[in-house]
Amino acid sequence: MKAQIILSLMMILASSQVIAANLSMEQLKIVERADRNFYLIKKRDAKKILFQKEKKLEVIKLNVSGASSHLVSVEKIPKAPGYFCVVYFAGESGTKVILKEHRCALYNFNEQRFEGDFPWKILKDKNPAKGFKQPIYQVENKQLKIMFKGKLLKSLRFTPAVEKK
Amino acid sequence: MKTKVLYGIVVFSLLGNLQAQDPRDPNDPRNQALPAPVLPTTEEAPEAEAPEESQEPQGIRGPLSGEELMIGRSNISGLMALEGGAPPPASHYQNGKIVVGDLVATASETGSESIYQIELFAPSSDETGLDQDMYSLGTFALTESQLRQFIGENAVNAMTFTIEDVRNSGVIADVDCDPLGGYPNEETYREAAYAQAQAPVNPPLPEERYERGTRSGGDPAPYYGGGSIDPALFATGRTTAVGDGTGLINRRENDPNANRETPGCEALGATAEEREENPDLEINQDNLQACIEGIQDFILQGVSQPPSASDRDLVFRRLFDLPNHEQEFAAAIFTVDGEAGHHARENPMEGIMVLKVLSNRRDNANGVEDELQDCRDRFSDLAERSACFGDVNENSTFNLLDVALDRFQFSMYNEGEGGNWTQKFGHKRPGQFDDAINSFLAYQGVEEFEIRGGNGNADIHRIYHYHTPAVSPAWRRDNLMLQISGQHETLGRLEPTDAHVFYFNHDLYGEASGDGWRRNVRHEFRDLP
Repeated sequence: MKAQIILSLMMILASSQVIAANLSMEQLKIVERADRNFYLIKKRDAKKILFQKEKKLEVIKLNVSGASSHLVSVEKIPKAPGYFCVVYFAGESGTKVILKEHRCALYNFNEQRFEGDFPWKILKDKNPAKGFKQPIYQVENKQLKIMFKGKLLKSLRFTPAVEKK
Repeated sequence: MKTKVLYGIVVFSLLGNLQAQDPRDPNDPRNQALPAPVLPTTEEAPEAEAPEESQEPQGIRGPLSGEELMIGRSNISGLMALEGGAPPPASHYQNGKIVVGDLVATASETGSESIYQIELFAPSSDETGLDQDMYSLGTFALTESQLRQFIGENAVNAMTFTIEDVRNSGVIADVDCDPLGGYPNEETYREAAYAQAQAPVNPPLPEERYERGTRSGGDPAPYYGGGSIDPALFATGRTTAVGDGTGLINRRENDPNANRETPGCEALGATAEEREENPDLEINQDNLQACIEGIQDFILQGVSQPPSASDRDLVFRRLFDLPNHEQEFAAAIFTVDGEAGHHARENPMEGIMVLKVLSNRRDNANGVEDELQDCRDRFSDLAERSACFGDVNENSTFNLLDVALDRFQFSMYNEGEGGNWTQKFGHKRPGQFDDAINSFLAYQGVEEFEIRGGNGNADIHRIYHYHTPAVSPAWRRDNLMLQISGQHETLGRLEPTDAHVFYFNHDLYGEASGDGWRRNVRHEFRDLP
């Protein structure tokens, strides 16, 4: 009896971890304010999953050059469970060759916060621009490292959560 | 089986009640010790809807905007760092204050409740230990419920303290505590407290350096990560316009590189008085040619010709070892050569406009456009105008080189596609800068700019964007393209530009409104101490 209760509890905890580590475009919104700044809002979950409380609101200021920004995608960081890149359009620049900058608002699901805003891709049209060093997101030794042009922008330790295979 | 299902159901329902209280969730009734106090408002402010895409966004004030709240010994639950990362620990801001700003997001935008921008202040203390002025830890965000919870807790703390005062009045109590917090003596305690107060909350990222973009006349934006920038980091000081007095190229007082004048740049660096005494120091084609070649020799020493892509960082960083006026001169000549090329020879206005955009972007980044315009309006004499410019530029932090090398802005400097800097100034060829130098010399003599196109409201001093007709950036607008022509005191009529299309005050929401485009310039190659 006790073993059955304990087993049920363990299953619930394990499954709740799997279901919780998720971030979707529907939860995200970019707003622009009069100070010329753009902010990314992560809304609360619309539904309660099992006994998970609604996740709290989060916000981060974005680095946008120019008049507009929009969400591009949500990317899971491979081998870094709980980390997501909210990829957004950060502007287009240039005089003879127009380059598009996509940036990543890095979200830490386990800590329930954004960890920062980092370069993601430099594009010409829809492809990585030739000849440009692209940002690198590297996971090793339980650390997520973000590097750009040989410099370390951010290093984050994480404890891998239980992940459903 | 049925029993097992029943047990599961029982477990499930128990979990709903036994789940640990989430201290971060302000909606959990168990976290709300007291109801939030009703703040006095003269009227309920209607919640503003998020602006439509085509409208210019306005600052949105919430009911709590403008409030100044003392923090005391409270912890601020739910504090969000707007730049990301962990918020500062309570020890950094206790006994400081919060100033509540505009809304970052309205309840309709978040789908639940508003988010406020707050500025967090920490107390600073001098060596006597007395609290002096507060200093800003930067801007953060709090949801409305968390802000109200903080207000409620603060009110409780204030009440509790007052009640305790009453209870304890007239009572002498033996207090067994260590006022030095475990430090061996008062001196070490004060040193530690001072160091803690001065410690930066968010260390600056190594690659994303100082960014500044302000409205004209406004306060500088804080250093990336919070706090305020020390203007002594850059070569600040009064400027003196070199040569023509237009303010395109400026010498700086207190220039840390003043003693590094490049051989061949004596004429560029000479003062007006020195030129009067020595006519050989005239700013002319030959002297400027000698100067730019001397700069080329300096930046390319030890580098293969043409340089390889891996030499880019080295060459660009070396440019910042030059005196300020040589940095600006190099930026001007290299940019015209690389961006306008032979077009500058065919039509001097092409080169002149590249210089004008460079200059406008610099003044925009420094937030001094209105003041510089005031100088132009008040002084027609170039010497007086130059002196006026010098006063205005005293605390400016970006020069033409910072702007020219700002990432992705001027394609010729790109490390990849579009970057032709290696073939241009990375490669010494006789007479290569003739056209660019002619554009530079012609810059002063433009008597009138004529602008055709756009909405008819273009200001030549606020043209910040151009591109070649063949490309289509997101901000390309055929109905806002400008063509610039003009009159020159010696060259006569300057034909309309067609190698590039220009835009006035552009890359704003919807139509160009004239409200003020603003660019944050990054110091990618300038070494910061």
